[in-house]
Amino acid sequence: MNKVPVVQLHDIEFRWTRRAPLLLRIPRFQLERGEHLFLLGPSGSGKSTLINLLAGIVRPNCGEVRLLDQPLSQWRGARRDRFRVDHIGLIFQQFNLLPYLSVLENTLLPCWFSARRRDHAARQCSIEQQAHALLSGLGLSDELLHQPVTALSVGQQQRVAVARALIGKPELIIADEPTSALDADTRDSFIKLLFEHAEDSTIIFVSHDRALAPLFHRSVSITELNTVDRG
Amino acid sequence: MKYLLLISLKSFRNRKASVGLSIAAILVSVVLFTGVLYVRAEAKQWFVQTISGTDLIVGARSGPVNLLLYAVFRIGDATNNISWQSYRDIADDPEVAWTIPLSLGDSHRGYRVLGTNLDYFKYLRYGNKQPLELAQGLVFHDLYDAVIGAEVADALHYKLGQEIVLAHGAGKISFVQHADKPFRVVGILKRTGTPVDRTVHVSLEAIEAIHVDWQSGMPAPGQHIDAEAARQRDLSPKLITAFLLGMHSKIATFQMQRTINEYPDEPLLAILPGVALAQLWQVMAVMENILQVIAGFVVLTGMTGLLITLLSTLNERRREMAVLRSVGAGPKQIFFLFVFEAFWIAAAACSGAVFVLYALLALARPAVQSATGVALLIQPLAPLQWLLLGAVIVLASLLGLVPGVIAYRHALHDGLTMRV
Repeated sequence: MNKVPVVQLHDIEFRWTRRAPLLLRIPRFQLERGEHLFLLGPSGSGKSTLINLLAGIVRPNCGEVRLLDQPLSQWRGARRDRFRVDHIGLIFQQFNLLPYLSVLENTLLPCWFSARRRDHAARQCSIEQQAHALLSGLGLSDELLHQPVTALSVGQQQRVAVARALIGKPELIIADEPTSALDADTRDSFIKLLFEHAEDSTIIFVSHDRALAPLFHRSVSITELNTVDRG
Repeated sequence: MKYLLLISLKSFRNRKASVGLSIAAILVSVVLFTGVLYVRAEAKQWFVQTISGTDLIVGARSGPVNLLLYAVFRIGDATNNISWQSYRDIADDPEVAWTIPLSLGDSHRGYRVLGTNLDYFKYLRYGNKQPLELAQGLVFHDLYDAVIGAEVADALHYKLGQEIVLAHGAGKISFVQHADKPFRVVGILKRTGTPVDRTVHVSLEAIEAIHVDWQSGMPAPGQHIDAEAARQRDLSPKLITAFLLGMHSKIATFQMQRTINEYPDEPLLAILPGVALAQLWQVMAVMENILQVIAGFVVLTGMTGLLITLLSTLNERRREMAVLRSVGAGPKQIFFLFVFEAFWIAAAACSGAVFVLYALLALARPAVQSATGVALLIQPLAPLQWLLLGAVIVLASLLGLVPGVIAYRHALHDGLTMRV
């Protein structure tokens, strides 16, 4: 099991509708367990499409997306939705949090939707205690936990997003430009915190900022992966 | 599902202002509609309660509804009187068990004065064949005695022995008073919830007495006859306005009705209270229907407001949807989020509306009672009202399908992409 790659893409082709132009063609891509991948993605490179494919939001027109050796791209929508929350933690560029939930509730969201994440998080203690531990590990003090998320700074919000992505130990973390709203200092400490707490999870970190590449095991540009000629 | 409900509830609470407004719009419309239903049921109840045990109502020839309204409900005026001879002639028929003569046309501070005889207190029935009862005092014996209804006593703070002056005409303000012949309150009736409560009762002779020195509806100039002198005159009644009639045998009622309607000496009209009430419903049905249609449109307006609120938030909630998608919410769940929200809004509005309706009833009760004599019943919701509340909630939830479907499509298409 450990030898099986976390992500496998085979001969992927994607277009929005049958007559739309081809957006993405990836003959082959593979990501090993525990790998930290830096995915360089300038805007317009098909970055969002690739993330949506990996997260099982959309299916490729041709080819196969396998996650954790499961044929994700062959499943129906609801099964892909369940798989997503069970095995993937997602971090967005910004606005990760639901404004009407507290910091704690935002962190617990994946546990509400996934029994697997809930069970994993509740291994040693209650899920609330687990969320609590994660948040304080990420440097968020106790008094912030029950505050409205709007009271938090952008940096704090992104750390809550990390806690949410990590709770219940999903195998794959996909972070889409999570540092673009942060300044240089907080950006570096953010990435350090992410690595530290992600432990053996596989990470795909998408960014347009080449300067971050040296922090990762491997660095790939989407323009190299995607063989569609964009003229 | 449990968490989806929680999320929907919290999300909904977060947008208090816009959600509050659409709740208010639906609440007002539901109060209006249930209120209309309530008033309609109460009004019918009131009309049915007021007359009981009377077989025929007889008056001068006019419309049945008109006769019913002025003779029983003290609404409107008689077009003509009937002669005492005709009345006696019919009343003496062996088939007739009892009659109650009614003479209307005067008032006391806005309350109608009714001239009648002691048979009124003996034979008049209301509600479920209940007789009138005195709360205090006695029925009238002297010429200038008056028996007042409960509402008259309450509103004007009258006690036994109070002197009152009758006014000519039925208006609230009258310029022609029968000030020279004051009356004394000798009895106060128990409350009935019918127009009896708002009536001042005197004898037929008293009505004659106060008009003894009048000619053609005006005090005759230079012919004043004072109260004591009037006692010496011939006060036997010559005209009455209408009378109520009870038969020994109900079977003979139709025959008697025909006899009266074909009465040779005078054009008379006899009506069956039930039939006249049915005709009254028909007249009222037009008004009721108009009110209901208006109330229905107000409900629709409230619903449209709800739809506008839900649709207008769709765009600003796309980020929220993307976050929910990222933690495993499917398009179906996003869809339900909107349907739930419409449901919450309608449910909140309906429960608020029930509360407001009862609050309004409680507030309006004293005023309605003094104005009409109707004691509004604070009773549980009628099946029709429950049905309406249910319909509002179901309709709102159905309307929630519209933004639900749009959000479903957004969720499929946007995926994890933030379109801010």
